Amino acid sequence: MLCVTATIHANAQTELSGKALLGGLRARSIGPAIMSGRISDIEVSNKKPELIYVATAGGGLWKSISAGANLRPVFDDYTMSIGKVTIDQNHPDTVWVGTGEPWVRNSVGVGNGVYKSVNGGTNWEFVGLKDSEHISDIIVHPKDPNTVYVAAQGQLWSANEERGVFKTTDGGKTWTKILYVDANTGCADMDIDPKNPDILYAAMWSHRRYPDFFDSGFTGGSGLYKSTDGGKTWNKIHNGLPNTMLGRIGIAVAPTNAQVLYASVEGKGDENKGLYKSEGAGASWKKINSDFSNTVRPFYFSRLTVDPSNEKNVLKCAFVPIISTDGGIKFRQMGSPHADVHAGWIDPKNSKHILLGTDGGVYESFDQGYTFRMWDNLAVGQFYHVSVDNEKPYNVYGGLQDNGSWFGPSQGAGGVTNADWQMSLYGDGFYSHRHPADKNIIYSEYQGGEMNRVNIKTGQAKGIKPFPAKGDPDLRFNWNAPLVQSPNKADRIYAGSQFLFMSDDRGDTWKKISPDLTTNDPKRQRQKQTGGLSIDNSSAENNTTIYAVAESPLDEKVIWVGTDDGLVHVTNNQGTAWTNVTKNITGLPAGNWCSYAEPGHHDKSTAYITFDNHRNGDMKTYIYKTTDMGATWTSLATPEIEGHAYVIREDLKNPNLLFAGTEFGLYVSIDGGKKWNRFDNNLPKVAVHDMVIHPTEDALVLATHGRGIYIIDDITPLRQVTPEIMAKAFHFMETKPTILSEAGGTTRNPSPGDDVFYGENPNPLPRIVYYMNKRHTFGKMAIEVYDLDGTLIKEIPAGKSAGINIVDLILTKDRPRIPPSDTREAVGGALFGPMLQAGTYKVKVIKGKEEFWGSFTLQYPENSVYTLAERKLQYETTMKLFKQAEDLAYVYAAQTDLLNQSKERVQKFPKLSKTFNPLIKELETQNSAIAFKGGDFYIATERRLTEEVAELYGTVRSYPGLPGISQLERVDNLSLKVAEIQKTFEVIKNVKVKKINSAVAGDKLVQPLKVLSEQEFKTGTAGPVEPEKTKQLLQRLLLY
Amino acid sequence: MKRLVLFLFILFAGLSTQAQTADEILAKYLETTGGVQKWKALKTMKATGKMSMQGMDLDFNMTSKVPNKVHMVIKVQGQEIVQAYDGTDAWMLNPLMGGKEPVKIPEEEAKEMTDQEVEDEFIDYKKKGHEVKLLGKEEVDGTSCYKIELIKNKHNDKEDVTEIHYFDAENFVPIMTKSYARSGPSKGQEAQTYLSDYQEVNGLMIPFSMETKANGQTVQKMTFQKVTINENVDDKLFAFPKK
Repeated sequence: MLCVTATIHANAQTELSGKALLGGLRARSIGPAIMSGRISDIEVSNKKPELIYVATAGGGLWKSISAGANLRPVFDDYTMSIGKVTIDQNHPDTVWVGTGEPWVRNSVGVGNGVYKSVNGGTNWEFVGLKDSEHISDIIVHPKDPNTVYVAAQGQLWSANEERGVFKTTDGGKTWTKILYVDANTGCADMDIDPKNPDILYAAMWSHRRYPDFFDSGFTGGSGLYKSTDGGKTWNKIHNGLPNTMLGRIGIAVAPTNAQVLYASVEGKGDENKGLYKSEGAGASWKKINSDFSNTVRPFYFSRLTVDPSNEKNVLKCAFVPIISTDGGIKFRQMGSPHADVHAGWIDPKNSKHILLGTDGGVYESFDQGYTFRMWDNLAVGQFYHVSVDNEKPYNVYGGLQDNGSWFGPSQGAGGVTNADWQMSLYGDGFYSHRHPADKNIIYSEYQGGEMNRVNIKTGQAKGIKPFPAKGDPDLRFNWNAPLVQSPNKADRIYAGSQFLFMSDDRGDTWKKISPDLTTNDPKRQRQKQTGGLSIDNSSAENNTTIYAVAESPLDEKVIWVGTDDGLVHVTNNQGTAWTNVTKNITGLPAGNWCSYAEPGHHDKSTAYITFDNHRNGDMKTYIYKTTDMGATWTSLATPEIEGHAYVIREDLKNPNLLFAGTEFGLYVSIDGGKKWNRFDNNLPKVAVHDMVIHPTEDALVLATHGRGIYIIDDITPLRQVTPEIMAKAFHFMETKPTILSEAGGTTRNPSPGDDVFYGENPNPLPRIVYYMNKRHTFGKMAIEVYDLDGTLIKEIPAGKSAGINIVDLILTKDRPRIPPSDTREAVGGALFGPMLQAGTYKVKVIKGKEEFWGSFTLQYPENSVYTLAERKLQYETTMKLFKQAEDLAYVYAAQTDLLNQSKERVQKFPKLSKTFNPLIKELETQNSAIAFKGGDFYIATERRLTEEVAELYGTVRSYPGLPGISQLERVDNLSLKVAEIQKTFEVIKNVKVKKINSAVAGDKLVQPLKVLSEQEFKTGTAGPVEPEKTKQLLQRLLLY
Repeated sequence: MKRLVLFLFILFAGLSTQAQTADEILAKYLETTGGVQKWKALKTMKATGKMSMQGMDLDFNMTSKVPNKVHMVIKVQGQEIVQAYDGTDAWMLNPLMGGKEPVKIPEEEAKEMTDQEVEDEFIDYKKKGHEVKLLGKEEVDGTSCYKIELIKNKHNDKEDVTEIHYFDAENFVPIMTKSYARSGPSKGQEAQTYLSDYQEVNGLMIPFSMETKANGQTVQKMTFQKVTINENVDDKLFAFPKK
């Protein structure tokens, strides 16, 4: 006897990890893709040119098998900062990825080694070089797929030895460091001889970043190296290169002529920067061009691409990309792609076909760079900050790396499209938020404290940055300078330099309310010299500045301030006096960059602070909490959190619910920070730089630095979790009422092509939320939904997970049955059931023998344009038509059944044909009056009664307001027609069938006709299917 | 049709949870499902149920027969959408798409259907040319699971198909399977199928509920209402209808 029960191990107490609690919640991406984001590399298959990988600075790896018509992220479980992607061109399913972008700007992410996929990116295997942090190049040996060279640029913020050139000959199992200079010098570029794969070139680069300084070339030993024995031995090839210190070098061999080499070289002094060429495979070099684009900002743009089919065509990545068609002597600027180009690809079969990877996405040209088309379907924007307003639906605001400040809606018709977003300010964007009361005013800024107040009615921006008072020193603004809204006063904003400024008139007048709150350490004020061999004074290294500012939502006089050089101050009298609380934080390394301050929402003495020490080479997580105005601090960082911290938020309703954003994703704690879990349901392991909880929508809105804006729409389930609930086997959580949206069917172009980006809308369905302490695996579990009058609407599958289950319910009842019509009018009209009305609906969760009752509530929107009386009439009219459709369906089914019975008898007993034929004929005539059969669901159709009823049903049900007078009259007319059909059927049933049955009663071999009852008809189910969706549906079935 | 294969399952008290290797876990799974012999006695299966996708509810009837025949009917107001595979031809009949006659499905689009065998792929997996690897333990639905990678056809001439199966570490039944789209624009895209509502049918344990998710979103739910096994089924049912 088999022994199986539904309660197996029900007594086994398992402690649930927090992951199960988060599992039911899901993040959605709203993009935007309009400004895209920084691209670090592009790789195209030679064998299958439609196969393209796009590596991004902070948004992971994307794959297209349609030459960009459609792109899909394929690396979301790993670090999102990608340096290099290389296809094994002989085996295009084999792909190598080096993590850690090599274009090491101040905001660059962090990599953790090399990964390999042998199935086109479906699965990845980590293959080594964990500490390399940034990978600039990967070359697969053209004849041996197991031999691969990796250029490890190495750690940016500290010295380390896992840098240089590495080689594997066993497909990545083991690695040998084959070229190493010192712990400050990594490999910034490589190339291989197209004829002889034993000949390799490697550009070694000495470089380092500090919080306040960038050094290209000063420390360590940059140089250009060549090996002719597969990397066993290397020689410097500097004959003709500048005899100075060197910085970053880009190297490229002409694929059609192994003797021709190009190198972009950063030497000391302007005369020693530029494009160099060798026509003897590196034996000697000659400088051939020093145009601006061949010299500018070498650390950010050094890559050269030589046309695979023409050694004279050279593309140089730059602020403005350039191309030469005469072997590098003269260059022209390329068209109008986004500035700051890092990757260039030239089609081996068509020199005019070019792809560029820029700070603003991928651009494609078919005329060798005169004109470009942007791939505006790649949502990889790097937001620094995010904010929301109180419109319905609410809007999202934020600034991005090299892409200005933008705002857009949290939802839109059919999704959030590129056209929904507007730009409020140019430059690099950071803090951007709307005035709480004046919807025309947006505050935005660009790098180095260039603060503006933008009136979106006029589109004009007014500069509002504060200036030093007479006798005060120059103001020092961070790259990402605080421009912060007061939570208590609508017109009040704060600006942070080394001083804190407050304005009560939207930035027109500033009051300095603090002394210098930084260390004011002159050794950290080197921005004018920063860059190393090439001055790079962009404000990116501005230091000893205020970075984090927050006014307590509970007390306008309490303000927290954190600086980029490690100090935290608080005032409780609006700046009259400031207390330095830094020394009270134990275990905090000195000079640790304060990345965020979050005053408590429930207690004004409480605050949370994050520190980000990665610029000192320390990637640990630092999160602290105080409950006594900074006198004492507790660390909330636990081993579950990975990566340096950018932001922490305390929930607005439950102080135990905390959200932290780090370089490696979003982390959630439900117990005040004792335990954390990474939130990964549809949220990649992307850097989360800022977030905000919407005060009325209960949504968590994330600024990711590489994947745009993500939203977790409803965090209320997490607010309700308590230890008591977690001890229960089953517990219903409260759910917010669902507002029945009045967003109509206005849409965009329904056939926009496959390359149009749509940000996802929130789920409109009502839902129930329940907690289970154990997964339901054995025995039946289902949910019954009951109508307002207590009748069962339908049964739907239940959520079975341990932890929080969020089950989507329904907004409509079942669609009406209709006769089997072969027309779009009928099938389309009756596609959906009547909308549920506002009210509270009961649901029953049936779990084995147990039952749990819960409910959900639907509400009409406030200020709805439809009155309740109008809605009532609309519903009643819909139900009248619903009934007409079902009445017709029954009559049709019963008549068809009689028809079949009659034909069967005639076939069996041909002598009965005289008895049955008149009935058969009448039934056929009747049915053909009810519905049209024999059509193609498209064009070869006719309208009968079903088509009329179903179409009007669809029209009336889809408009929530008053039906038209003509529509109401039409309903009555159709009613009469349906009644006639029913009447005829009654006569058939009660007179004609009876007559026949008595006529054949004498013959025992002939069964009497039996009329299908309405009850029997209704036990058979299934409504119509939307024809347009059927193909998709069948594909899904096949995928199952 | 994945997971229409049956899970024969007998639960013994004090079941060991010490399984270490993939083979041990699979042996446990097969052993506790009543043994390979009984499993191999499975010849046909019929199932009726409901599926929902994109807000649409559909009734279906499905019949399968060893080794790989399948026939599925979706009922729509007295009309029937059919798709089937008889071991040679995959075909469908879809009046709603204007199809009045059955048509054959191109090989590329039928892969998922034509590759599926009725017998559990873990039975004699080595003989079948499949490869199996234990990837460790991982939590699924708040439940500790053994994570077993199955590379079908790794050691034969057919196209490799990778799946990851998550076996409940207490009960040794799969509660989730990861698979990857094999054709079309989303080729390689991961989907997770969650299995639950295991119920007994003539001594076999069958998951009556299957929910498929992609990107954390439910794309399809499927619930069996009735399952019968080893009824006689004529091969004609699966064959491409002759005119």
